[in-house]
Amino acid sequence: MKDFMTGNHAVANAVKLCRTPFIAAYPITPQTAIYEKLSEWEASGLLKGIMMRTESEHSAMAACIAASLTGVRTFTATSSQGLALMHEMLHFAAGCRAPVVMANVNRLLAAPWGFWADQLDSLSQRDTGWIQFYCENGQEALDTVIQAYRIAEQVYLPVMISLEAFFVSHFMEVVDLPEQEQVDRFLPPIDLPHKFDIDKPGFLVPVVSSELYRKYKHIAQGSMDSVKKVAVTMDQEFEKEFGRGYGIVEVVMLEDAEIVLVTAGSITSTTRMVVKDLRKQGHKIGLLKIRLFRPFPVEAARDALRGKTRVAIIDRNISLGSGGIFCQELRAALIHSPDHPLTYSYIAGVGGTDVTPEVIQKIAFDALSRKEPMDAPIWIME
Amino acid sequence: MAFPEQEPNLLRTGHAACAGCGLAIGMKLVLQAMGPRTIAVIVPSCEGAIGGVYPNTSYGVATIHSAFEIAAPTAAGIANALKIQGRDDN
Amino acid sequence: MEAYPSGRNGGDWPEAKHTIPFSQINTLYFDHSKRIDMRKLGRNKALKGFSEINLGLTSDEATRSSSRCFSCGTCNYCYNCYFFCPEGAISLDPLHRTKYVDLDHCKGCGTCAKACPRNVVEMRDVP
Repeated sequence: MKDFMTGNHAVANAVKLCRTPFIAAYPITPQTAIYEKLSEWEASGLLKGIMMRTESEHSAMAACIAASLTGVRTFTATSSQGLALMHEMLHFAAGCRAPVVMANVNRLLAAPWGFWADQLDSLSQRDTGWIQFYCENGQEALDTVIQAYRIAEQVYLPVMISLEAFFVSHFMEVVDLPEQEQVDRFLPPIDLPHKFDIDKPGFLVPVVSSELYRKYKHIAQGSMDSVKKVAVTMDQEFEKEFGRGYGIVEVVMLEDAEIVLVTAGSITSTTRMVVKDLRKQGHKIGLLKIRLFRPFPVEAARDALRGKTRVAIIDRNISLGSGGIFCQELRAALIHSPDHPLTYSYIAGVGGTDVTPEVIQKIAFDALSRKEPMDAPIWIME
Repeated sequence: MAFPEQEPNLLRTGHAACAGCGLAIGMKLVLQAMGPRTIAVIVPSCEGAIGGVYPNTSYGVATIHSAFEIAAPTAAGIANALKIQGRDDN
Repeated sequence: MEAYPSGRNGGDWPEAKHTIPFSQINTLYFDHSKRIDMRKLGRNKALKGFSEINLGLTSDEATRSSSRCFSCGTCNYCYNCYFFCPEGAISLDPLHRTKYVDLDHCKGCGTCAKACPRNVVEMRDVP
């Protein structure tokens, strides 16, 4: 059923379709609409379950972890400052192997204050052990939430779905809402393992020895690695049921490309247009979209860029002292690639500045004009 | 008068508290009063150390060792989840 | 260093072998109460003949008077030591008049000795 709604409402609808009975969240611009919609539905009974309106995001994540371990499906949503506030509990969730699903609306981190789109908030949590997806538009965000529950409940790792502030969260688009029966078929309501057994009581999250901690992390790494395959399988199953598939990376017009633009998030939509236009003008240009960020799709990215000579990565974030984070990760993925493409890091859109087709064109031509490799990121300040 | 021995000691002997710990006295009595159908939420503190190191624990009830300053939302999360599951009779 | 309430390992401990003076009673566990004196015959009546002056105690007065007894030096199974032990190492059986201390888990803190209102518990060094 097609409807016209913002990215935030698309996410809220996905949570309702997944019949998530437990939500614990705290409002923060630009996520508030998700919180408000879910709150309204829970209060009216349209969303069956309990919504805890906690006093902070830190508490929200703790409540989600606890409820998840008790055995119910959970959800929370936040952004920048809230995500940073719950940082400790993000590690805790991944360590507990709790299959919590969270929507993060990418917003810049203070100081100074602002509400605009910037991917640094979720990227700076990349070491916490959460699976991370970056969504291009509201439809993808909705679909990814549904897929996320299947993935999380299979590998027992928490999943974070990121959508950019205002560009995706508040932008109204036509969204295809799946029918409840379709979602029930793909994602049946599930009783997660009850970790609290009154009759045979155990101690959750004890102090462990160094060797045992290492063993847990080793096992978790194995699960995280398996997500590269699991995510692809779930996406294919999703496509069969709903008619839409995304993959963990997406390639556009890559066959004979002399320059590949690598993007994630809403910048991808703009870049698709630019690639089409430049191709019409005769330029050999292609696009690689990164959708799954953790675990980083090393093999898929390497395969996609095989034989390519020039790659320009556009980052809507900056890790001060190092560079764009997608670029860092991609460079690490390509290090064993026999082709050694020239990779250029472009910083565009930090702080929510607009990345227009002109900016992307400028990036493409700038990368094409360079002969020498360049470590430092190139800032596009339009 | 009911002889107290009949009730189980749910903070079992051999825990790691200091000799004469007041917290251990309190915890033992509270758990005895609450009984075996209890879920305990522990935070990093002496209570966490008293629990012991895996695979041993001195708590005789289902326990979760959560993070700093987070006992209340953790407990609320568990309580609400039990309510959703229809297991909140205890 | 280990310590245990006076007596052998895990067995009945004998009553204290020496008198416990008032200074060693833990008065926290007792309410203040005045001694109940026996009612005496009035002066005029007493002078009239040879009737007994001390009129005795009523049943209620006798009960109250005897309940003021500290039971000093003699265990009366008040369970204070049991409640105060942080380890739960003490167990009592009033029916069989036995007291047992789990010496494997007693940490020698001495709380039971301090908490015993009648100073029955004695701490001793054990090599």
